[in-house]
Amino acid sequence: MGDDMQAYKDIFVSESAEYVQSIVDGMLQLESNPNDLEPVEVVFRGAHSLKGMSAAMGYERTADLTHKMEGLMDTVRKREQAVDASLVDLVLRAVDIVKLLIDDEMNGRTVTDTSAIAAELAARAAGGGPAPAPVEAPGAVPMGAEQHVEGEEGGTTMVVRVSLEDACVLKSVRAYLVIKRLSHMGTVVETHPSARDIEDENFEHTFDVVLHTTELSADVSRAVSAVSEVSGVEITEAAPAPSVAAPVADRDAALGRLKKSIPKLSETQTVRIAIGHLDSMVNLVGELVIVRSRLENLARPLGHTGILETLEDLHRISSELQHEVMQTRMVPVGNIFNRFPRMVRDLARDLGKDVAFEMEGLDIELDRTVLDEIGDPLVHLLRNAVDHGVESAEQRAAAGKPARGTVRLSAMRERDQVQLVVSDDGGGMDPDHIWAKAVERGIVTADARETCSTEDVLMLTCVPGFSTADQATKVSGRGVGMDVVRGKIEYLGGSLTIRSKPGVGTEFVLSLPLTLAIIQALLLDAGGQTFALPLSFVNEVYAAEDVKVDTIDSGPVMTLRDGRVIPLYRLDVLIGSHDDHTRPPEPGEHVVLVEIADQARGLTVSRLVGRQEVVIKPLAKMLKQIRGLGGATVLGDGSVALILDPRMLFSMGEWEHR
Amino acid sequence: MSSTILVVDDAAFMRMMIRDILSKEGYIIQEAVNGRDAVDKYAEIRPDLVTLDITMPEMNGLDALRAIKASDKDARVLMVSAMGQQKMIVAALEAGAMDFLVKPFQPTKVLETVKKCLQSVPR
Repeated sequence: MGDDMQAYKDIFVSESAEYVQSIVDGMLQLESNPNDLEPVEVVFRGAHSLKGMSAAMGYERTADLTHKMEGLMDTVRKREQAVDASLVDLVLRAVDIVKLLIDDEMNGRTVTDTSAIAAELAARAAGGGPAPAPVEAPGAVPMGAEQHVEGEEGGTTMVVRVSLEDACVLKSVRAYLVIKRLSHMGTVVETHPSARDIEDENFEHTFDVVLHTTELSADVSRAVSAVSEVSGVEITEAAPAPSVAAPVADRDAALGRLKKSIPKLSETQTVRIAIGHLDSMVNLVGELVIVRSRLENLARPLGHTGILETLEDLHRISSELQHEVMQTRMVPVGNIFNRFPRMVRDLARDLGKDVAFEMEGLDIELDRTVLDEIGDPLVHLLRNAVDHGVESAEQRAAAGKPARGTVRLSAMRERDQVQLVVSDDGGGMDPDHIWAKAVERGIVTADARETCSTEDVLMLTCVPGFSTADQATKVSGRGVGMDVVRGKIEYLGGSLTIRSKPGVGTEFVLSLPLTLAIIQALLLDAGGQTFALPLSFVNEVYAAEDVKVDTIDSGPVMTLRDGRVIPLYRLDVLIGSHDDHTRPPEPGEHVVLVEIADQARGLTVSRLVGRQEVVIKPLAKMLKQIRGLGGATVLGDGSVALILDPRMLFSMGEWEHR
Repeated sequence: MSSTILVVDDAAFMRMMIRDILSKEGYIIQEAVNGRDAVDKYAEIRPDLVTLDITMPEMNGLDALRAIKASDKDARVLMVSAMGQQKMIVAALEAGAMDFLVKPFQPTKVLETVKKCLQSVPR
């Protein structure tokens, strides 16, 4: 088994994390509904499973602590323990220590001190509230083994001396099993020591059973030996037994209590795969898609039906393969959301605020690369919401709001994007206050106020060096943060918008791409170069002849069918190969309607090449500094196209317009 | 012909461990992830032996044992439990389990117990 130790460790780490999480979830659920027995079972089972796993790995410290947690939860389960905040706290603290212990084990250390928490758990388990009379004294295993008393004539009475292995655990149960087997072969007359003492494990490793039976002693011996952990059986024939008497224990009461149904955890057939394998699969499939389109380009001029048909099959199969591989990378957002309830709860407690935390859309899936990166920004936004968003109890009362504030985190799928929304029903952000701060910090000039929309003003909080917190607290507001949050989201190819109403609340909307690796793109030409524009931003395409162009403020605009007037940009100007941005679309050119966050813009390009799936390859460092590019891709003919990032592209254009 | 053993445990870790121990000895291993799954799989596979964890979601080992024994009174079931579950084990033995293993266990102990169960007559 030694060779596989790493494999065990890996699965131990991931699975123990799941149980730790189930304990945390269960306790939080229990806190909000102390009479619900279901979370108690979940926590009990979580601790129980952790104990078993740790013991199997030889992690005795972890096994010991989880054993104590299990013991405590057992008292809760038996209603011997009141569920209150201190109990929830205690178990949550204990589970934190368990996490540290597991960490210790993985790093071969023993730095975490468990004595205090272990003592606390034990004390609480022992003295938890007024215990209703226990149904059964613990350890009192009913041991009467008499099953059927056959007043059988004939047969012999024998003394069966049974020895158990030294390493035998649960000796009393082991003895019970032996006696039970014997009782099937005849009548158990008596035992030495007494049934009572065997029950209480008041014996070393040997006990005697006096058996009246018609079976041969060899058969009796074989039956007893077939019980595991029995190291020896010795049988001596004795004089006929004078009396037959043994109580038949009634275990129905005990059984009845055990019949309780147990709640379910999700159970899908899953395999654990190292993320590295998935990454290289995605890469390989990407390469496959590229080779496929090169092959198609080569085959098309040949016009060979057989080859073309085979290629069509290849196309279909590789598309499916690609879809499946991408699917394997998708992880429900719940996987990272699940740690937030605890965090928000602790934070609210620290700040002395009453905050309800709600989550929605936990089953929405995101590429795990995106998901791994988005955790920290979300933590920051949630902390902000609790710390700065939700007002103090007095302020809420004064505003006529319910005392308990609400912070919500929800996930929604929108086209090939996922929106994560962090919202609160707090005091909202004050645009005037933000503006004043921004002016004070020299980020904007006071007279520019009219040109900025409320949304623009709110986004100023994401400019480096800006912080509205009048007082830095330990949780948030030290001037780092929002700019980092926005940076991270944009790095992931997403965008951040802020909506806020004074007195009503604030909403941070994170729009994230489903996946980073492969996208549907519109290929277009500008300035003699081919570019790929992610299809998710493309709303419509017009021929230049169909577009009515006007001029507003010396910039060209076009009128849409629904009457909206949108600005027109030229791609060749945006990428710097031309500098006359007022030039209207010429015949033969096309206008692509690009929509970003409800804002539409027209983008004039010289030629449309087509629609294609492209594999995003990260840009070299030098190119990364050019705004407006999101990456590069290899096209079917082997040439390289740059992938446009419209968000950056237009913000750059607007910069020049102003 | 080698015997088929249905390993039932909600912890993948435990299933993996028992599977490793047993498959090295040539047993054919099937797995179930909870009591209900075990009952379904039992009906489908008809294994020669079931190793059954006691504490599980959906349906615990004891209820699963009863359901399995009700469907096949000759079912061979080996309970797998942790320390401190005496009552459960006794109840399981009452309900027809053949033997029990206590976690954490040594591979040799598992093999020995499994072998003994397979050689005994269930009742």
